[in-house]
Amino acid sequence: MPSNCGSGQVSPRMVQEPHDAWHSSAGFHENLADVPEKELLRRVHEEGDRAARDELITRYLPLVRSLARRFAARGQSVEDLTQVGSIGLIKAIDRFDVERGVELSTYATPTVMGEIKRYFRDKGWAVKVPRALQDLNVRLNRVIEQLTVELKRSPTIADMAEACDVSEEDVLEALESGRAYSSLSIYGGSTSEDDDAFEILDCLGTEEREYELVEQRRFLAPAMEKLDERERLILHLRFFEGMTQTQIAARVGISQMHVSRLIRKSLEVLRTAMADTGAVSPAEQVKGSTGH
Amino acid sequence: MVAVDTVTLTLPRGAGYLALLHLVLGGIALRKDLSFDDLDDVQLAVDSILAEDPGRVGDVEMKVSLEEEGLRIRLAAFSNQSMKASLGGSSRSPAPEPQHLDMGVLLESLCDSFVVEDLRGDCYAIELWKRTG
Repeated sequence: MPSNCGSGQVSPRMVQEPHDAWHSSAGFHENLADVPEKELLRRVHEEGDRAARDELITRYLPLVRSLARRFAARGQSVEDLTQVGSIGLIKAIDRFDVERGVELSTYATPTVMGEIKRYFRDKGWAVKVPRALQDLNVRLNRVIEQLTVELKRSPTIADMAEACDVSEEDVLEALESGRAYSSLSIYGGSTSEDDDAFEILDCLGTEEREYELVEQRRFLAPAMEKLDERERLILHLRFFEGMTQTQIAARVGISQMHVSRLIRKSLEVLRTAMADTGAVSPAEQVKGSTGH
Repeated sequence: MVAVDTVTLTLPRGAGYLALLHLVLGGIALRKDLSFDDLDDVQLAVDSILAEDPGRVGDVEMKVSLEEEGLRIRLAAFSNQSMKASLGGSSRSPAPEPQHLDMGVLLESLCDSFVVEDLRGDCYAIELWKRTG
């Protein structure tokens, strides 16, 4: 059970015992199930009506469960992830601006997803890295993407430091700390970019899929089978097509930092796999066909 | 004659010191205004070379020269002859199979050029050149 629930602690009743009626702030029994969502939100924000808040939580729990199920294959129970996601739901309800004219569901979905991803992210650090550095690393991930678009080139350390309003040394330390992120968290766990990547991979265009099919037939080295399609594609683009990490990131639809991690992880997998065969010298351990 | 700043670092082999190497390279990249793309390439090249000589004991020396047009990184010393063969340039032996990711292909992709320098005995150094700007 996740322990860090903070102020958004979800009581078992909130999650497990939906109710049809509750005491409203007006002090009488009212079937809140019939009250429109906007009215409930108004009561929450203008009157601090806890019953209205609970009703909204109840209504949106199916959404939270649905989102939690998307992460269920990553080794955590749906129930635990629902609890984590519920914290995001409560934050969404509490922070929702009724004046903005958007639906609560629109606002709540990314908030719930963000909470679940944060949970996985916090579990994914292989060694103890200060939270501030973890956060800066995650921030840099986004900043690198933004700056690459803005500057039309890969940003420098100084660019990143200025954008994040931190020292250049902090940027270097945060980038390095990112390597303490466990490979499990990249591939078995979930990070914000991972989930995006999985979704994008599922949606790779026809061209990419056809490319993959052709490439797959041409893989010669058994070690390459240890890599998934995306990893083989990235190695091919980097080392045989001469694309930069920035270009690969744009093409595959993941961040540059993620491309960097995948390249490193893939080379490590190849080394290990080839070493396990015992048939090649250490220098040839990275040898592996990526197809042509 | 333009003076070239040089940073030399000697440290024990082992994955535990890689982070230190990365930070030093990052600090140098900062002074040369290297992009994140290029910095990561250089770090990966250094990591890959070190990973190919895991059995060797003793220190590894990294010397980085901040030249006007780029970084020259010399790493020593290595004894893995298979890696040396894969880095042999025109004398690469055996000829690299097309689309096989050996160390030569890796370094050619990550750096602008590299050379292998013979040292005493069977040892050798690898010098990487990465153009900046």
